[in-house]
Amino acid sequence: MSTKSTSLEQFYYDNKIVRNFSIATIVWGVVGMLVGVIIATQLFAPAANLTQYGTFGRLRPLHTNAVIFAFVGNAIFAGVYYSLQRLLKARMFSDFLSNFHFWGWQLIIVAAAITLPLGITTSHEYAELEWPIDIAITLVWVAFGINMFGTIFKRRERHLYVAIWFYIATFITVAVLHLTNSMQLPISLFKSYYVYAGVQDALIQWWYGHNAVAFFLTTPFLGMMYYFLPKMANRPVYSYRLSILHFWALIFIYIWAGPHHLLYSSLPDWAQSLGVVFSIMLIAPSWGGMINGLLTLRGAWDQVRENTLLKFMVVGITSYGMATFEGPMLSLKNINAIAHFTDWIVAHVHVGALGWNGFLTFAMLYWLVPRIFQTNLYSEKLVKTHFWIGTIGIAFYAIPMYISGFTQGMMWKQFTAEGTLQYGNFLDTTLQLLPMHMMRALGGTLYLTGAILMAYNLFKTMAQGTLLANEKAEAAPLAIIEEKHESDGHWHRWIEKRPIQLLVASLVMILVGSLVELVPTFMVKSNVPTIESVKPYSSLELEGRDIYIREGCVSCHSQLVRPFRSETERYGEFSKSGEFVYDHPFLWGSKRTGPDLHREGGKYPDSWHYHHMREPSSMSPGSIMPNYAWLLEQTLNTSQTQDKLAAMKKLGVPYSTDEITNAVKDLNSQAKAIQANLAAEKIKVSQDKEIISLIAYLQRLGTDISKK
Amino acid sequence: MSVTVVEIWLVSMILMTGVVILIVTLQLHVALKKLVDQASPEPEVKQSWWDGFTGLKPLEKEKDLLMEHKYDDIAELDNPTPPWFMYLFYLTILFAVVYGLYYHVYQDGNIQETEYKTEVTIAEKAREEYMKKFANSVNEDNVTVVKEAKDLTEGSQLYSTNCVACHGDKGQGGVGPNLTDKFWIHGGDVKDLFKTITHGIPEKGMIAWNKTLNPLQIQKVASYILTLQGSNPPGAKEPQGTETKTP
Repeated sequence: MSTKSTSLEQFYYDNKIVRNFSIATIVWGVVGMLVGVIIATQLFAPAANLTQYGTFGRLRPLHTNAVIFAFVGNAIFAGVYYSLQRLLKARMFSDFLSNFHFWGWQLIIVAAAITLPLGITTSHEYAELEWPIDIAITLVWVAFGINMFGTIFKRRERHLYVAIWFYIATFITVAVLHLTNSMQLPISLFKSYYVYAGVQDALIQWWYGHNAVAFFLTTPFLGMMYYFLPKMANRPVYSYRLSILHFWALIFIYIWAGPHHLLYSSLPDWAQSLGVVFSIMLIAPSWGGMINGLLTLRGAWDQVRENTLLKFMVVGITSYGMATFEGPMLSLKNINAIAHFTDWIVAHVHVGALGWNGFLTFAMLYWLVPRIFQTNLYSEKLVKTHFWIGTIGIAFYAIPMYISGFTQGMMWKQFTAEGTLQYGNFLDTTLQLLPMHMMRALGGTLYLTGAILMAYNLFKTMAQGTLLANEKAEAAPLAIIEEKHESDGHWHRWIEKRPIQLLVASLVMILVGSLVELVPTFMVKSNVPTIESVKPYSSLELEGRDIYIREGCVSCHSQLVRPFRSETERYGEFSKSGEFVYDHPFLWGSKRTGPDLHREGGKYPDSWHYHHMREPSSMSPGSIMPNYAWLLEQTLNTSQTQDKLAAMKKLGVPYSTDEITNAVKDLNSQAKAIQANLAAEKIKVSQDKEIISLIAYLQRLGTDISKK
Repeated sequence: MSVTVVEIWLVSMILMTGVVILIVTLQLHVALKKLVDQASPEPEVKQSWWDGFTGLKPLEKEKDLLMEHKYDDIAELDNPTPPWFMYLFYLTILFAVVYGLYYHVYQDGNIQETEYKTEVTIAEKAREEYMKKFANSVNEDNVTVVKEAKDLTEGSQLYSTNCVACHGDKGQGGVGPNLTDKFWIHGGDVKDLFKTITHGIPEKGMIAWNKTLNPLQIQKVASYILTLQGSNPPGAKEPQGTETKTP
């Protein structure tokens, strides 16, 4: 132990920033969950798709962004700013940076809430925001990092507690993920193309997407669990050694597992196998957190019976354990073959989101709000109600989605004795799920109701107390010269005193897996065998593709025919990696609410697509797809067509100078041909409408491979 | 390799049952042992293998495990990592090694294409058998109209699964032509229909259905379509092609 200094220093914790982030958590939480209930409703009641700004395709990214980055993000910052100061015995490094962080983050959320419904999106899941917002995120994240490390440097506690290891790993990994995944070539303020294409883009996206789950939804929450759980239960943390082991194992192994989102895709087999085995090896390290949490409650289970906050924690930690067991199981290829693209995955992520992130956040807010407002909770009874309504909500959400996912996965694969698909019409499988989707919406509504109760309860609590904006604290300063012979045993104590070394070690840990998977996929040619007949999109098709992206069609339609008999019978030849080389970004999708579209080209006449967009149920009775009538009215904006082709050329798509110069002329002549096709079917539409370009794109999809 | 879901569930059920039985047995073992231990007043502290497996130290000993540091009043215990947890970790690492060796050293690593080819080959064989037995008896030269209610119901189901998108739910036509009038573009007797459905009219957007439907099914759906003749559904599309008398 350090030599005891005789003079204690006085300083003040900043509780105001904690309050701000807490309020933001509550408000955005309710908003994000409300959007969730809306999009859940749209999946059985297409009439709930109001105007072109409120369709499922545009609101779904809004929901995920709001819940992940606004609700969970603000919760992380509230928890970190509260616990970090106390664990380091220091006020945050800079009040200016704290405020810059807070307001910057809220502005980014508002920017997301405006741009996503407008259809301004890059289509990378959980990273849909366009490049100016990406830059803003980088700035705010750096501000957060400086603030955190500044605080660490002026700490009055020699060693960094396990919670802070997790915070540091979170900071550095999210920075790496965000920067790598956001590499885009801007065309205008609101439009850019990813520099990666096809298989490589897919790998980057799911390396990012998977590790956003790891380092945004998991590690910061584990850190917060290590602070708030022992506080709430008034128990010592079960095992210091276990925390060391599972921290390092978790961050090292997690980063490798991204390819399990791309099983049975065109990603090379070796990368898929790495995804499988590292997912399996992840069970123990992720359970390490659960065990250490639950065993910390050893000897306190009588308290759990009485204390609703501990109940929230227990359900949350158990949900974490369930989700992190299920994840590896879903990474086994034979289970993935059924579950992928179905509601099973939706159920899986919501057990994690609603249980682990939601319940831990609720418990934390209930615990810290009364403390910083120097009062008691307004109503204990409402907390109890919230717990039960939330738990029932999770059950009502998850169980129907498991049934739904399993049903759908099985129906897709079912053959008759005659050797034909039992449910040849994709819609049959969609319609079968409607009752389950209704139940899910009910579950979501219950959960939302719980969150609203919490909002009411906490705002009442705030109103009845007064914020202790600057909380007085005392601690001895760190001795300037460190004693040489510290003998507190464990080897790990060495790095706990050295934040920079801890940061670098975490960085190295996560870079190993990343580099092993990413570099060969980018460098080794044989990973993406070339197909001669695959050519770049025409200018009209490229514009159509951008409309497809704008409308969020990828939310419901995959473009990836997997190598299963059931899929090649239904859709056609399975997808090859060489077919996607000009796809900036890739559009494989992650869930099929509607059928796969990779072999859509040439299947139906142009008029079919026209009618299908105008009123889907006229072509597919019972369809739950919304009407896209505005595509028939809106004029295609061709002012950037040339720039788009030029940008693609810069990214390696072999457009000739002529093709770029004549981009609009070519676009018009192709449009004219489609217009003529439609006219022959007695459909009157002028050639400059958006629908024409979308039809051109859909008719091109997946046709190159069969061209001679 | 095609493992059916039933097999997956069976195996997982067996595994789960095994685990449950194991846990129950262990619990019983511990409980009984406690009773026995209580009965015999031996003060000797001997760890059962279950205690060794879980690695849990008695709560009373917590004080000895307390580490000397505290962070904002949070203390830490120096409990060992639970042995079962370590076994689990080693087991998953072993799995990874075996998986890697099996697919990427022992086999050529071309996992999914091999799997796909096997799956399709099996299905092709079954299809050939089936065609030999039944379906080959029908082709575009000898096809006749079937009249039995059972067959027509099946034909109607096939129609509503596959044909309504273009020809309307009552055959009134939409993107595709009207099927209820006497006008046919590619001929209106059962042989013509069978041919059109089988090979499609790709240049006009009519799909070749021989991949999806077998000849018997095509015969049934063609027969069903012919029952729609003269039904005059609302919103019928105007006549296309030439008038043909349908028998």
